Amino acid sequence: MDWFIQTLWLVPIYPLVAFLLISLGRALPKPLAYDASEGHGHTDASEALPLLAKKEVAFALTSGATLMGLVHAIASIGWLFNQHNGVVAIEKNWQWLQAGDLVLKLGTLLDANTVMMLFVVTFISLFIQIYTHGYMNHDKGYAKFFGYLALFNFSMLGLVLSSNLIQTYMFWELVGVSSYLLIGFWFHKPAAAAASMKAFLVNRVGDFGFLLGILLLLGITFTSGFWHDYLSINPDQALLSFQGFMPMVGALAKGIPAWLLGLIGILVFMGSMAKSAQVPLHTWLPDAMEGPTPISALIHAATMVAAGVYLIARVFPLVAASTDITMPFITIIGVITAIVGATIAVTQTDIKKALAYSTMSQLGFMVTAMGLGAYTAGLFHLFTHAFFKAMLFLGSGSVIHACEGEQDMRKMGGLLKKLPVTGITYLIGTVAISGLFWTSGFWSKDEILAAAAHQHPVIYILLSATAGLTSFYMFRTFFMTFMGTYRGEAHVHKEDPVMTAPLAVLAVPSLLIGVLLSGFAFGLPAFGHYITHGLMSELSHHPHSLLDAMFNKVGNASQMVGLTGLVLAFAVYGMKLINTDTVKRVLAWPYELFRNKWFFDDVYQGLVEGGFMLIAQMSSTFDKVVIDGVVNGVGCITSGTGGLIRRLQTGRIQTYVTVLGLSVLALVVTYQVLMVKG
Amino acid sequence: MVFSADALSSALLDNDWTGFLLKQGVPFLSPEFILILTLLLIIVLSLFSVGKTENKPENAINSPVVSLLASNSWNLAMGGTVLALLTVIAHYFLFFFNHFDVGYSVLYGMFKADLLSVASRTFLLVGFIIVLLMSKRYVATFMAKQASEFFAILLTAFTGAMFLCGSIDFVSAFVSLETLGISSYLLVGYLRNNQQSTEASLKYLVYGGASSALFLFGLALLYGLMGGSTSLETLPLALNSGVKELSAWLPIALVLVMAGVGFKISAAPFHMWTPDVYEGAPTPVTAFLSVVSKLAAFVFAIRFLLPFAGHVGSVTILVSLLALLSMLVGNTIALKQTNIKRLLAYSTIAHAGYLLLGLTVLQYHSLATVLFYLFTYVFMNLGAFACVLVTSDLLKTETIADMAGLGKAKPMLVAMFSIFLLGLAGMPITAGFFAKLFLFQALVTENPITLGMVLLALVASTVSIYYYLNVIRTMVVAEPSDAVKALMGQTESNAGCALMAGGGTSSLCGSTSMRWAMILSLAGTLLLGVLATPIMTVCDVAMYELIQAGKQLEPESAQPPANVGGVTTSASSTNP
Repeated sequence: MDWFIQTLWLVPIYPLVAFLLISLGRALPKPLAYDASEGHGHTDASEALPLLAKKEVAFALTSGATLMGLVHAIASIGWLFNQHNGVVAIEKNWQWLQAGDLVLKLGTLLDANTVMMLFVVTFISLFIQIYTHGYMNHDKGYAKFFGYLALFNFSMLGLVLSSNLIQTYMFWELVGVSSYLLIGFWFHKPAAAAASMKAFLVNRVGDFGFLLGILLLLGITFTSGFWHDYLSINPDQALLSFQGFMPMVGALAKGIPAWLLGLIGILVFMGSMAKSAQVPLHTWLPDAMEGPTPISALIHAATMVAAGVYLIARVFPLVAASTDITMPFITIIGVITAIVGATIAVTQTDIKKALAYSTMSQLGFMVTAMGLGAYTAGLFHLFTHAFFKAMLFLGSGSVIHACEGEQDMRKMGGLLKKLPVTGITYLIGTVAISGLFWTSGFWSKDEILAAAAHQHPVIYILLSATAGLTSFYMFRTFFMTFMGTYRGEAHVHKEDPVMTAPLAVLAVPSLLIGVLLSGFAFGLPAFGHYITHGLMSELSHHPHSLLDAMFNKVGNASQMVGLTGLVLAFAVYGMKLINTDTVKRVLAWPYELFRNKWFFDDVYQGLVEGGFMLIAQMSSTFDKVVIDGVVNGVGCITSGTGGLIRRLQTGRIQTYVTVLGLSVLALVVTYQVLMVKG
Repeated sequence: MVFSADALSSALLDNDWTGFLLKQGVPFLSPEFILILTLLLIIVLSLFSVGKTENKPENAINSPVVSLLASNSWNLAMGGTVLALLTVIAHYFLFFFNHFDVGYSVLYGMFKADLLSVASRTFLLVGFIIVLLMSKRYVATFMAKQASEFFAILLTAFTGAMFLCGSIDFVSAFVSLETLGISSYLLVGYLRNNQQSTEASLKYLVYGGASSALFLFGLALLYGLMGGSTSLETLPLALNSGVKELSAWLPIALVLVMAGVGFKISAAPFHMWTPDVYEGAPTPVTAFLSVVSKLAAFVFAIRFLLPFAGHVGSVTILVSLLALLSMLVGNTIALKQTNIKRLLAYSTIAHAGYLLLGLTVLQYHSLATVLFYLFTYVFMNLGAFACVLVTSDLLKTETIADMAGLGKAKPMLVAMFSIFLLGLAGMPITAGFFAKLFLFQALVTENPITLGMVLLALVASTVSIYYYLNVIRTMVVAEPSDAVKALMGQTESNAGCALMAGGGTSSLCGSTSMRWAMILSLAGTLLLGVLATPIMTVCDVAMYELIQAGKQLEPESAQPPANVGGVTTSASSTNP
């Protein structure tokens, strides 16, 4: 038991080894191995491959690595439950790079956050890999896919275990890289290649802010000598270690103006905005659904996109220190994202796109919670959401698989009979995400709502309405897909047990994990018991008892809102009492707005093309008009005659040399002037 | 200290040749001597071979003798370079085992054999090896008849760059700069039948001549200001003795010298030749110019600017101006480039800007990060140019739009190209990221002004991501262009090879040497960052010792000059 805790650094190493072995297997020359195995007389083509290149081996390596990670995760849960008197974090670091004073360390930090995220990532990964075995079985790139999956697991687990912000940034980018590789897995499809590039570009914007924030933080705390002093007391910790954030922020708050502290918080949060698809950096997530569905479930629903929220949790002292700049900013972004995501989801006809916008909306809930200071609630929702959203995506994958690649819900319907396990688990997921009937989503979402109600009524009302909308659009997808009559042409296949088994497994936590960790069941501790006993206990703005009172009031109200959404969806899509075309006609203006995704993509298109091209055009014009003008002017003055004709006849080199002379002159003058001043 | 002054003079008294050679610093110049011998050998061998080929008809480019000759001169050049690299590596032991701290003046104070020159020459040689690997098949294809001539000139240019790394005297600096420069003019115009190449050569010659003149004028002014000394090591003395009298003329001299250096490193506003020359020159030559020339000139810039640390307070202003202009010009104009070589030219200008930023703070660590940045840049930029070489050879075009959809035809090539471009853009895990991180971190903590400049540099490098990614996006996402479609047709008709799949009419992409050039660059791009500590330490030590050596020369220094060993001979002789 203790061994698994002590060797936590192995957790990312397992998938890394798996990735390397699979890559090695793919690089092995195949014909040679084929010759070698010919003597055995096997006729199966895959038998002729070298051992490492075989599908089964790729699968065994990747899922074995994940299973080992899960064992560590379970051991760490045991460790957490044994910490009765407040959790003591365990940090271990190894020196990696040194450049002057800048000493970068790689390390692992084990606290309640880590345990939670470690369990989520390994547990969901494992079942998604089993599912993938069925889903990708006939794909040519099976081994490559599992290789990328292992690479993703390596980066994600490295990110989860990171002991300091710089290491986090490294793995943050690695997670990004594996995500792009997997979105663009079918890169022969133009849409998939474009989507992966878009994800890359949008994440650049966020990571630019993130890196700038890190550099500012590093610059300020370095010059003030804070880290020098801190690390001399805690030599085992690393630069920008998460454990040192509380004292660091304390020192910062005294030393720098509030706006700068707020700015740093917002810059770091920009990283989260891009990764967790927050408005206005959300546009990549729906497009990312071009990747294979297991990837959508694992990376773009359960784990990687939640990393943004996890990052906020990690740097929480930093954002929480700026109560009137960073925290409101985060809250507003979160609320807007929740609303924008939910409203767009209502208009989507592609089942995966609808789920993607739903993910975005739910991430908005989590971010709002963080912004409100309801640290525990945000992480709790991250935790429950990971299970049911992964299950919903896998369910959609099962449907798409059965319908021969069809993703349009208008060409589905009545699939419950043909895909009973998928249908029932999808229903469970729908109920859970709608927060109905004390399923897991109920507990986590209502904690967020309770925090909102406690903080600000407007935010509460907006979030509640969004929750109702969530229920509506999720039941809409359910009714359109599984109820009524089948509207498509494709022949519907039967379910594959390899794919339905993970669905059934994930249904259990989707139903129960909320109540189990609510603090009301079987004497089990509440989720927040450990999380708030961690590093952040002083900062969590809401004492648990206060929230409990609020929770009872909010809980009933949100059930009602959720049920309203359910009834409306049933009326429109189940009973067909209301014609959708009429609704579209009546609500033409909002409908167009939502269907066009609030025109974000169009605006960006214009901005990027306009903005960058404007800069380029300006500098080019400057080059042509000013430089050439000056040069020709000089030419005119010196030669006196025929300036214009000369201009046409001279090659560029005369220009160049004139500019050389003029720039030297200008530099000398500028330099003299500046020196006199300085 | 093994090579102390006493030991040397006694060696000379004994008429001991080894000792004499030691005193002249021959062991420290062994790489340069090896290179010079190699190039002489190539020239001599080519003389013998020309007689044989003259009897052949004009169009006998494919004749066995000519191609044998071409590959021989390449082999010689390669062998010489590798040998030189080995000797340079052997020099490290001198430093690590003999506490050979402040370096050693060679050739009567013309050349400084210190850790800075050894480290920079190591990476110059590695870079040159990659350039040679890139040019092997290129030369055999496009200029088979003049192969030995080409390699002889290339080696000459390279020897100039090697000397420049250690030059601490105006005379040696100017001579090595011109050796590098004049050979480069020839190399740029080496595709004699190509109009672009010839034009580029002429432009480079005129522009280079003009800036050499400025450079020389600046040196002449400094010579006067320094009381008749040409040694950089006396610069601190001169600066200390008469700052007030100097102040009027010094800025002019500084600007003029920086014009010469700025031309070599293509810093704005001395950059205007860069796009034209990069576009017109044979691609291996472009790669050579963008990396070798730049690295050597930067090392000289460090040596030249360092004495001004703490004096006049103003070098910072000049260098900052150049840095800001370069970042601005490079990154904005790059946005609308349609030719990949022109794009990389503007990217070079932008990188010169980031690097110059590091020279605004004349402290050992920030200078060390500049050096580290240069070392990583060697691999990333050479890799990028190797990919350009293969791509343009495959597609017979250098337009970015024509590279559309290349990812479908040559996924491995595009993957490598993407890694190099991302490295240049400073994406994490590549060496480019660590180089930027170290550089910016060293500057960010310095003072508010450098903090502001770093913020500008970050914004600039974010803009740069856009144009690098645009190339990647074109290759990966877009529908195949006609050129790529034609290529795909060829590849289907004859089976491609493994790595970047040759086939078709291309002779370059299938070639082993090309592949090695790419693998070396890739290894450097990926490993130099994550395993940065040893190289960063070398850079730190080199810069630290350089500054220590400079401090020992200053008159107010507590230590008497006699303790400095070989270095003092040049310093004391020219006391004003």
